[in-house]
Amino acid sequence: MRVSTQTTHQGRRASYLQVRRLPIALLAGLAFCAAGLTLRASAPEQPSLEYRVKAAFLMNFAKFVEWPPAVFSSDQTPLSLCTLGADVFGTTLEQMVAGETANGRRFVVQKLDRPPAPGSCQVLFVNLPEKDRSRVLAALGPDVLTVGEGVGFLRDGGMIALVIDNRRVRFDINQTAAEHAGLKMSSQLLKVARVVRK
Amino acid sequence: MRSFQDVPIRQKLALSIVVTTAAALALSGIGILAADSLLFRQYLRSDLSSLASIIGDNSTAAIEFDDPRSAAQTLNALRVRTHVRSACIYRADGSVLARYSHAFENGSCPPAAARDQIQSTAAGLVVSHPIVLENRRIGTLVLLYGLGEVGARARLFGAAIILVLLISSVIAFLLSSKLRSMIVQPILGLAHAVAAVSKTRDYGIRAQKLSGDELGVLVDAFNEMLGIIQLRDSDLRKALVDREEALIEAENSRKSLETTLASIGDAVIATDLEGFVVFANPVALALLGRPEAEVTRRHLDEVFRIVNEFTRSTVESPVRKVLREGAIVGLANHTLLIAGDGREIPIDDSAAPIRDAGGSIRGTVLVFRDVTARRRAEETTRRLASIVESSEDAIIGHDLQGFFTSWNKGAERIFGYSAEEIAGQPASVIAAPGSADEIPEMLRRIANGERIEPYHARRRTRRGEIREVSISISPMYDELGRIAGASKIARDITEQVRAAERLALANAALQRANEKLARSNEDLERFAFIASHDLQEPLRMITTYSQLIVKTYAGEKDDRARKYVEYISAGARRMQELLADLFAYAEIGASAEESGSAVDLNDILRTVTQNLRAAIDETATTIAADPLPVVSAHAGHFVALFQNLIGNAIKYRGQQPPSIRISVAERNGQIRFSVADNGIGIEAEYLERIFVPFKRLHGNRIPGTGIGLAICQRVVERYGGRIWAESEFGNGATFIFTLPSVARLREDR
Repeated sequence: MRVSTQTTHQGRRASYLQVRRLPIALLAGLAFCAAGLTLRASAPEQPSLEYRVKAAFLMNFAKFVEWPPAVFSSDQTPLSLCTLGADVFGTTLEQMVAGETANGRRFVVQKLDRPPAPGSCQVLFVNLPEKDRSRVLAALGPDVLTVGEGVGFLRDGGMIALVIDNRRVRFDINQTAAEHAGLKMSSQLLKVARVVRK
Repeated sequence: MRSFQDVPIRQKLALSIVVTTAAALALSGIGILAADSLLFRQYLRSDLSSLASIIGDNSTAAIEFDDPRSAAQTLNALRVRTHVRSACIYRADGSVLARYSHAFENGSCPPAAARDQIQSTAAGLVVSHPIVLENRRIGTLVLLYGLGEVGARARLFGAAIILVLLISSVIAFLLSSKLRSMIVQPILGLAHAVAAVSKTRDYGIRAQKLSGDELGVLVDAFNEMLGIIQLRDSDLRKALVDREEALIEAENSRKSLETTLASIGDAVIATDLEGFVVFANPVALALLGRPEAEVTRRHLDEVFRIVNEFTRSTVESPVRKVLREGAIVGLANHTLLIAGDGREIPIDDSAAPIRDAGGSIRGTVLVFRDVTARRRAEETTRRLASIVESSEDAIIGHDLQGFFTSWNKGAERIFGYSAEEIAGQPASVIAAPGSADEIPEMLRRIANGERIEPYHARRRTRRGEIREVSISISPMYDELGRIAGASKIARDITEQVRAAERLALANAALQRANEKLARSNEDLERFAFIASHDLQEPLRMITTYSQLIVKTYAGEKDDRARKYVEYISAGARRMQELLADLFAYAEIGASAEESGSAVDLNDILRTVTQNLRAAIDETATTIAADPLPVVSAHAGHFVALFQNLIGNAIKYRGQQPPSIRISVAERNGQIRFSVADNGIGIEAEYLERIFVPFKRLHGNRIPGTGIGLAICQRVVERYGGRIWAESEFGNGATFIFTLPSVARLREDR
């Protein structure tokens, strides 16, 4: 029991860490943790440190965004966390969301090849080439929080763009886009964001 | 310092109001302060908790997205809470995400508490609050809250309370002055009224009623009480005055009666109808010999026992007789009262009934007096009269004019006149003829109060004989104490006077004989002195020429002539010795008037031993002597004394060598010397005669002039002593002489 808790903790913490601090945290994690982590570290799909942080951000956005109640058929309906395009996270997302909740809802991770059907995803990580992006984003229905990479993502109609600023992972927000999609972003999230577009 | 009890009510009231107000306010202030302090702390805790919650909730995104800037901004919101000194947000792993510190505080983070709680530390309250997102703890907020606010708040509250206390005390004091006067004024009025009443004793004073409350009721009750007291006081005063008057009257009458009874010389006893004593005056108590307590309320028979002087039978109490007969009774003569102390007192008495206004007998009064003095006076008079009558001396009374007023038997015997013959005659009747009548002069001096010593006078008897009388004269007084005459006692001393005259004649004759004797004695002494001195000359001549004859006719063989001349020589030599001794003897008397010098008798004894050295050596005499005193004397006298005594002891020695013992003793103011020898002694019949000059016991058998012991006697008597001899014939003799101790000059060595 103790071991598993620590494992979870270690994993979650790693997701928060700044990039430059990660090796220290990792060392600490290695020192404390059992073989599980070592196994995962040796997996062939193990993503880079940057993406592990981005995976944590992806999950945390869900905690500071409010969806219209109608989106979920019941209280127990899980929150669907989807990736579209080339997979950059490997199994990191699945590992990360295990046991986590957002407004009391568990997470479900889906890896998609084509844009999701309306209502099937609440958070969508878009990793498409720039030429396809605006078209896909425009085609998405409401109630989907879109997260992408690079400043251009917001121009293309995305809501949250993950950027690297001063060697740290930060994000910009297009609040208008979110509001159009019927999503309410927590003021805290806005406060933490690097740039908020209205 | 006055105790609070003595403080005036006005001040007590003011003090109580102010103290009560202040105490109430102080208590409520303290209560408010305590409650506020408690509530404030609770409030502070919840406030800090909620503050921590808000900050924590606002920091979740910053933690989740690891944004220290944003977290610091959130913490900066604490700036409005000036007492939050510092705050920190810790990540879940304990590292610091952001920190905040108030101006002037250093930037250190408050230590994260072990548990999520609010802890009081020296620095202040440390609030450790978890930051939770989605039921997971993602970090910890720690606040350090300075407690300065609590103290400041308490000071502010305290100041406010003290201010309120002061102001309300002043207001309470000001308000109370009105209230005080409402209570104090009536009480003071009442107190003044009480003081005035007790000072003036005027119960007409009333207190003024100022209010209708309990004080008003008190004033009414007081006034009512004064009214009652006033009434009773006036009644009492009247009663007192009446009583005093009655008492004074009774006292006056009692005093006058008592004075009367005490001042009369008679004893008075009053009894009731049963004969019990109800009163006895001091004279009565004195005569009964009992204190008043033993007399009053006793029956008269107990204390007044009377007997007949001769038969000693009890006499009936006169009181009984009075009660029986209802009349005044007198007591029989020769009644003796047996007093309480056993004295027997002759009394006169009478008793009378006491009757009340209706004439019935209420008691008796017994009056009696001690007649001892009268009896004694009568007896004295009788005795004096008999003395006067039987006296051998004439006892004569004169009035101041010199007329005879009394004349006793002695006077009749001495002067020959009978009392009848002499009555009314002047004193000159018995004056001796030729001698001045001294009686008028004596009477004059007596009348002047002079005291006259007894004196002699001569009186003539009826038969014309002259009598010598010794007269004592003294004044006679009348009953008022004035000198009314003179009493003379004349004693016939005719025989004594005659005898005295004869004695005086004999004495005068004796005196003359004595003087003659002294004169002849003196002549004799002078003769002896002259003779012993002047006879030396012819004697020397006889001796000288006898020796010349012997020398001149030495060759001639006339034995008879030579023998005769030798006799003449021997006689002359003896005569010379005799004269020398006689001269010495006479000289002792002649130098009697000269005073001596200090003479050490031990030296004298040495000189004498030296003088007698030849005789002492020749006879092997031993002399033992006590240490002898030093006396005031002429040395020559004592050399003669000791030389004669020791010389005699050697001269009249027995068969053994002489042994002489000289001893000294002092007793009865006399120094007593004794010179004892072991010689032939002296026959008792001669012991007296040996001191007479020229008395010799042994004829010419033993050489001597017969004057030695006479010289000794003369020396000793010359110094106030005495000399005698004690001896048993054949057993030695002891010569003893004394000198008065005053002759001694100092102690023996």
